Amino acid sequence: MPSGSILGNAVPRLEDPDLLTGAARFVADLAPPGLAHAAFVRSTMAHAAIAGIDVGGAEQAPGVIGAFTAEGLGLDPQPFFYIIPPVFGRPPLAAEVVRFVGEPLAVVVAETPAQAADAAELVEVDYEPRPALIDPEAALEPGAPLLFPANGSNLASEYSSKAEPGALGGHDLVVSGRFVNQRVAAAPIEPTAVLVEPGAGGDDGGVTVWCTSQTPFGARDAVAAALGLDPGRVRAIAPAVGGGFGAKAAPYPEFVVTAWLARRLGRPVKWVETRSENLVNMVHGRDYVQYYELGLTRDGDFRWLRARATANVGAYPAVGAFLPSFTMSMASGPYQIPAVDFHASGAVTTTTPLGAFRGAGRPEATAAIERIVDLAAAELDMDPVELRRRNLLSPDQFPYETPTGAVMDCGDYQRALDQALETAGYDDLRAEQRRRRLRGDPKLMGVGVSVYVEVTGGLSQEYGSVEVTADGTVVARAGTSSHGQGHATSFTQLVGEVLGVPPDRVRVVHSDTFEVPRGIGTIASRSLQIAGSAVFKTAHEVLERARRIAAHRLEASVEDIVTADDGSGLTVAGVPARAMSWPELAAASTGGDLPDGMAPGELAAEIDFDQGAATYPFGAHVAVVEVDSETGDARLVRHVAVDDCGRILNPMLVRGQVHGGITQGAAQALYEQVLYDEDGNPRTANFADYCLPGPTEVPAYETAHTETPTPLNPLGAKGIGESGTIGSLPAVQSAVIDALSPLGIRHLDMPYTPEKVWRAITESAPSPA
Amino acid sequence: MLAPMKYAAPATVEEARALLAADGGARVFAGATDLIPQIRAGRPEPSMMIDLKRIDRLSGIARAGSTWTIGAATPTADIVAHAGFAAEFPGLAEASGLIGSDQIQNRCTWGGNLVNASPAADTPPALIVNDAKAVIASAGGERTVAAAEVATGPGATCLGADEIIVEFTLASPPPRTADAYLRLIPRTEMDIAVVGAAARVTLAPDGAVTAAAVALGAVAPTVVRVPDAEAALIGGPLTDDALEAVAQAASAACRPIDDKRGTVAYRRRVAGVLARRAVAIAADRAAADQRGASS
Amino acid sequence: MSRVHVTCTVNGDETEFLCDGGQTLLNALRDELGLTGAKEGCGTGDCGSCSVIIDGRLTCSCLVLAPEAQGAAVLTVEGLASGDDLHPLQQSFLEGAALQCGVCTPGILMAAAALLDRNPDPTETEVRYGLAGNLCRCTGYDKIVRSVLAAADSQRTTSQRTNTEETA
Repeated sequence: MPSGSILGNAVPRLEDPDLLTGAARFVADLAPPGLAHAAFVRSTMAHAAIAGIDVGGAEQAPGVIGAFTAEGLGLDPQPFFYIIPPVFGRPPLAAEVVRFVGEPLAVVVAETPAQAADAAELVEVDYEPRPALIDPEAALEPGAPLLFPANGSNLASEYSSKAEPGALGGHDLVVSGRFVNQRVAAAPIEPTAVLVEPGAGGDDGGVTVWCTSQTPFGARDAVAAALGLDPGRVRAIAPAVGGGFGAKAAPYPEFVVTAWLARRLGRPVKWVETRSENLVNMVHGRDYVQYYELGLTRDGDFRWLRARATANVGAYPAVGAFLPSFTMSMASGPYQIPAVDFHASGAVTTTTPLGAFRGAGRPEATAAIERIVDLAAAELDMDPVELRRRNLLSPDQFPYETPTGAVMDCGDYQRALDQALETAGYDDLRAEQRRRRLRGDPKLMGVGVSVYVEVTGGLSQEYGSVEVTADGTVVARAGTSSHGQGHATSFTQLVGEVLGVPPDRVRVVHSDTFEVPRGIGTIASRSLQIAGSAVFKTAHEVLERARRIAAHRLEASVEDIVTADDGSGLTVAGVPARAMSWPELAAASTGGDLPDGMAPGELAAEIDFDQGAATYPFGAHVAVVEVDSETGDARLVRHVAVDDCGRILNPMLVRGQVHGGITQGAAQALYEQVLYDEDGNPRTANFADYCLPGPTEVPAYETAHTETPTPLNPLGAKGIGESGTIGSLPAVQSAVIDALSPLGIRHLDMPYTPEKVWRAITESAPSPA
Repeated sequence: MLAPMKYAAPATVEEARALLAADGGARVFAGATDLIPQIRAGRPEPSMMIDLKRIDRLSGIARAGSTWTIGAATPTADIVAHAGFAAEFPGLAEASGLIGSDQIQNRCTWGGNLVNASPAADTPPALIVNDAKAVIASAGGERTVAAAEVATGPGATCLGADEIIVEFTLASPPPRTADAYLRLIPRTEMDIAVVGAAARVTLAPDGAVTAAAVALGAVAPTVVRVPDAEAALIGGPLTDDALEAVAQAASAACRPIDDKRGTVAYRRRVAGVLARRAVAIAADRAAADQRGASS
Repeated sequence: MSRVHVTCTVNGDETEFLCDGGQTLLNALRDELGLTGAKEGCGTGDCGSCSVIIDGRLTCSCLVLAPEAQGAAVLTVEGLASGDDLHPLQQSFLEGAALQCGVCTPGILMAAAALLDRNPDPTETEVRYGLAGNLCRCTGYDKIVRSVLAAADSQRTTSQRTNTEETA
């Protein structure tokens, strides 16, 4: 970046003053006049035919405006994610069959939230129970009860990448393992909420949908499709959104139902999920069973990988059914493995639908490859770092096409690993570990190392525009939708960098489908690299138009026109008095006196930027844990992360993304798991039973970055939203196993709860003679 | 709103009892940190909530002679922060400071912790090893029962329908005496105990144990005293063998169940480990107790 | 059921409102008084995003009945700043980027304010334990903890300066 650039600096976030003072408005905080409140009646059975629903009692309850079932709504089943085959369509309210505990099957609207909730309890549902199906492997067995009989099986999706015949050879030994990547809940601190007002702009027949969404355009399209409206009549707005992590990427049936209610009643209607609803209703993440085999030589050279995975995609295939494709593309990780044979199946079960969540398919790939590499190191009695070094791809191999078809842009994995080991003091850690083991320390110390590569920005196109308005304010628009990432700040930095304007002269507009013409949204760590590049490029286009105008009006050469130091406009280099302000330039742009060949028009540019391919961030993490050998209690005591997301625009924003990600990965390794009983009843439907990590569960983090710019976009940036999670989980997992390794323990499935670890220790101990 | 309920904030114990007697659906509360989540989950559904915090006698920490009196509605944060009390009862202060977060400890009380009668509650084992007494306001005046007698099973207590715990009394421990409380939870904070263990130890000047009490939480329907552990300690120095005997006795005394927080086998094992560690900590504190040095 | 009339001070202002006996203080603040800074993240006292300070005590307002506020002084995130001057914690959170989505931030600020009132010079561990009742899913807590420590530093510096000025 040029000297004097604000790019690369830790600029405080423009979003924060409102959030810090309580002034920011989240969906649940909105209360327009005449507001009615919805409460959903949810299935208490994992799988049942609906014999009848009686809303009569609810209709008579105090304050109730209406109570409706699928029959009253008359809405067709919807895919809720564009690639889902129609056979798996989901009715916005369950009509004939319920397929998971928590599935909405009726809705009550009342004057107050309490009245709606009380009345919802009066709705009586007559169920005819059907068998629950929790285990995805069992769901694919012949004879398993079918969730969607018309599909003929419970198979929802399938991804395969076959090795050439005979390619799985050349090895001296094969290590293998079965790894469960358990189901976790996204659990953003803000649950799902939606407020729908009748009317959109001046269109009385439209609707305005305020929703907790990472993809307002997706919410718009879902509501429009379900209600049979043109998308242009639905205005979707995501105001302040309290965390999404992928789980707010796809629209929810409640959006559609609430929109229907608002139109039907002619009143604004709001629904806010409770936490206990959230933990069964919002999409879950992970839930893979993986069988991995790695063929390698005695010297530790990887020859081939065979991977089989079954994803539990839940009751209605959604984004989760598509995620095994990410797992497939990242199956070989950062390693050179000549042959890979991959097959993944997505199975429907009577559980909450699976969606995108913090890493979405990549943590599953990384955890499995790192686990099998650790098993190989143990088998060869080789330091796990040494084995990794032998097999990492080297920088001169890029662009590199993996055997499963990913074309990776660039990387220097060795450098990231070296830096992580140095920061951690890896050799000293191993020495300390040896000393502690020798003296029989009852606190077992473990060190885990991971190297990862992941994929971001695969949906490679996004809308962006920049406009200098009449008063000189620069408006940047983007099709992405920030929910904690700080886009207002980073996009303002980009505009300021190009046009030289101070932050208070820039307005970033996003998350409103009437203010931005089109877009995809904030998913898969794509926003800065793609939308940011769109803003950056259009800012340059605006600058070039403005410079030509200024050169023409100031009678100077275009090359001599530069941005004014005070941000007021453009000036002739070295002659600050010969200048045009941004309002003057905006006015001139639409006027008659323009350079030859330039048509009058707004001082603005827009683009659908397409970087054409995905980018591949990478890094290395080192985790240190201590395990109480008597109770099995495992604690993360240090975590070192070196991440490479290409060029860094604002290190403060990057650090935040990384820290949160590390915490999520560590939490999955140590604490988090969604559980069902055998009848499909959720056992983790509140925050006492579903353990999120608090500030005392994690240490201060030691983070650093290498910067390997991607050639695919003008910023050189890759995504950073999910890297922390992808890198930390295998490191923490490895550290716990490493702590237990003197007992002969080579693998345990997560989470490493005290009892699970204690049990492993107990079962490994030689029985008393 | 949680539910349609009346609210009352009586100024005296008598008023509170009269309200309770008049409305069978009424519930008394102080912190309500257990009760409100229970109401939100649908059980119980009180018709009236009687707030005890406006009754002067129910709040406060006082020492008269060698007797401590702690109001039943005193937030545990106040108990934790009371330097004089925490110096004499470090383990009971620890247990009081382990319930949930600061937000919870600013509301929750010994009285509530005891009458909620969760087998996994943190303060009852520590109250019991210190021989705390609960003073209960009844129709016939007041009666005093041992803290150990209050809970009779999960969610069940010895309190009559119109009875209220008013305060707790504790005798100052003799010299060279100290307590300790440990618990195991999946995380560091906020969770409900898988196992809790309280111990109190009195040492002679030569280091021999002259009195001991060990109590376990979350391993039976109510708190379990471990007389075998106490017997193993009394009369001898605190040797590794004695500590191992404590662990074995504690494991043997458990009558746990399998539930989502832990299995029988694990709870037995951890009860032994925590009892041993709690005794060792209490003994270290007792040995360091300077109160007895001049007597 | 008749509604309860409550008089109290909220963020220093004398306030009165009507509520139901079974209404939580969080609901009353949000629905009756329009103070939506405190959020409902769980309703069970586990997440801390509804944290407010009542008579100097940090509490989860989802676990307090609204009528309990009678006569009390309630402080919410809306009352932390003095006019346009951010509270030192708010300033420190801004400079340290101690928030991302910001939905937990009001509760964390109140918990941090209560912590620093009680302990103006906390260690990192004390900060972590002081905030143990507050969940954040975005930040991993690192920058929050550092920002609370930085705010404590700046508050001490300021108060030392004030003390010096007073004695001078």
